[in-house]
Amino acid sequence: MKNKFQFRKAGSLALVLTMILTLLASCGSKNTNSSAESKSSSSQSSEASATKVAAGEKTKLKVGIGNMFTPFCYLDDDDQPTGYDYDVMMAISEKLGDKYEFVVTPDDFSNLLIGLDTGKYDVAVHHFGYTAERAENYLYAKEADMYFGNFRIGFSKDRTDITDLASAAGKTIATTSGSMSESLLLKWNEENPDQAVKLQYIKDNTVVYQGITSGLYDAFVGSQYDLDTLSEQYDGFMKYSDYNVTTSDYDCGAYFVYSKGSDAMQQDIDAALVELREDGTLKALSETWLGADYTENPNA
Amino acid sequence: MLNLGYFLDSLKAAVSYIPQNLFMSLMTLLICCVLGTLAAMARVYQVPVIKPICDFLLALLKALPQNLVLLIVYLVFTITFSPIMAFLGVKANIQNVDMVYVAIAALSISSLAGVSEVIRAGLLSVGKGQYEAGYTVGLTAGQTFFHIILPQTIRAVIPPLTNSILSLVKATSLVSVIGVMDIMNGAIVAANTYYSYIEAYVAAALVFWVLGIIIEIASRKVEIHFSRSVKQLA
Repeated sequence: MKNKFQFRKAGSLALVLTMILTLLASCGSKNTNSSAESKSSSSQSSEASATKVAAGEKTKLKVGIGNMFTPFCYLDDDDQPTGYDYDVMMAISEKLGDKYEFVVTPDDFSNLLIGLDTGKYDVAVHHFGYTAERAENYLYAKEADMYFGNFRIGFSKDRTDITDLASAAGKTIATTSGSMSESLLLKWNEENPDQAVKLQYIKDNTVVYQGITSGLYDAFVGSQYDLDTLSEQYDGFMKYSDYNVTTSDYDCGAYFVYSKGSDAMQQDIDAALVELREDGTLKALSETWLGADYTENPNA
Repeated sequence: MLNLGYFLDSLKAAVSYIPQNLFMSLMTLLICCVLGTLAAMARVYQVPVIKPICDFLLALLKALPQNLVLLIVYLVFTITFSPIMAFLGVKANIQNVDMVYVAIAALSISSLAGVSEVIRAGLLSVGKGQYEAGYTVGLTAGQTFFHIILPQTIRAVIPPLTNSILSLVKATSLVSVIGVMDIMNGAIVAANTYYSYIEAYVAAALVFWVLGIIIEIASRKVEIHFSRSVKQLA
């Protein structure tokens, strides 16, 4: 009995080690191969699309779109994707209808990006904010479909002690994982280690509301649009100062994100976006969904 | 497919949350074992008044999803903290409360019913003859329980309780809904910089998997320890 048990133990240990080694081996190989792979796959796909168009067939364009980011991309009562970004994508699909067949799949934020890695999606739509680090791994659109506008620091309407990030040093600021506000706060902490703020990751609006009103969190950083919407949802519990959290070198556009090598699709969709901006469609959609025109770059 | 640098970033972050995850799971398990044993005893030994209350409460708790319990406990905590402290005359800042304890309270509530049922099944597995044997040789009810019934119960509950521990360790990945960090979300937050989520998920899976194996091995050891007397008899 004892021998049997030890044998099993040794077996499971060997299994763990093998799995870890396999993982690491596959990790290591990416660094050398990935760029070559993505290049070859892109040339293949553009060749493929060229032949298809010549034969009068449409290229399939697989769109992954967020499923719980109201009002940009979310599911309606019938579980159908809807929202500002969805309508923009639909308007684009009308423009490019002759060349592409749009297949739209709603999915979770991080799954969208993984879907780009695995080829499940060609383009991911989730109001992605731009940073140089992220652009190392994914191809960003050149045209934003919306501009977040300036980011503000929001706090309980009874408070007067917070005006800017320096005055919030050491205080707890709520933010969402993977958001633009998170990267702005991390950047602030990196550049101002003496005046660092504490990041508190939250997922739920109720948690933010209750955290801010109870004093568990001191502030919440978001775009002016986010703060207005959130505060309105809970009887105006929050206000914000004029301090601009977004630094001038920061890109405040919301972009579609492609897998590396999908340049042809990105250029086609960007061209369609420019047309939609010029003919006023984007502005009209923004006013319908967001209550104001957020399609012009405020820092331009 | 995977980038080693991103993977290691996420793995490091995930590993750094192992102590917090284990603390949450083991504290929860401890609370559940103590309260669960009391509830199970009340039900097995048909204690008047307390038995129906336990029956009712456990049935109620069993039906609630874990993340809902987490949100409810979070809301009750944040809403009542200041009024209660003011009532008690204590000057306390809500920010000084480690939310890990709020998470433990919530996890305990949602896991109590399961753990209590496991212990109840363990108590029921010990035959009536064992009690009678204890009383025949002149042991008191307490002595019979602690020296005869309890050791046999522990042996019977270890395999199902291992399952409870494993589901608790996994349930800790839900505490992020109330803003407490854990292995899973630590790995994901580390991946936000470069949007390297595949690496983050693989890192988190690896950590959970190794933890699972360790818990499994530890539980075998404990089971063997409590089964010594049985083997000598056989």
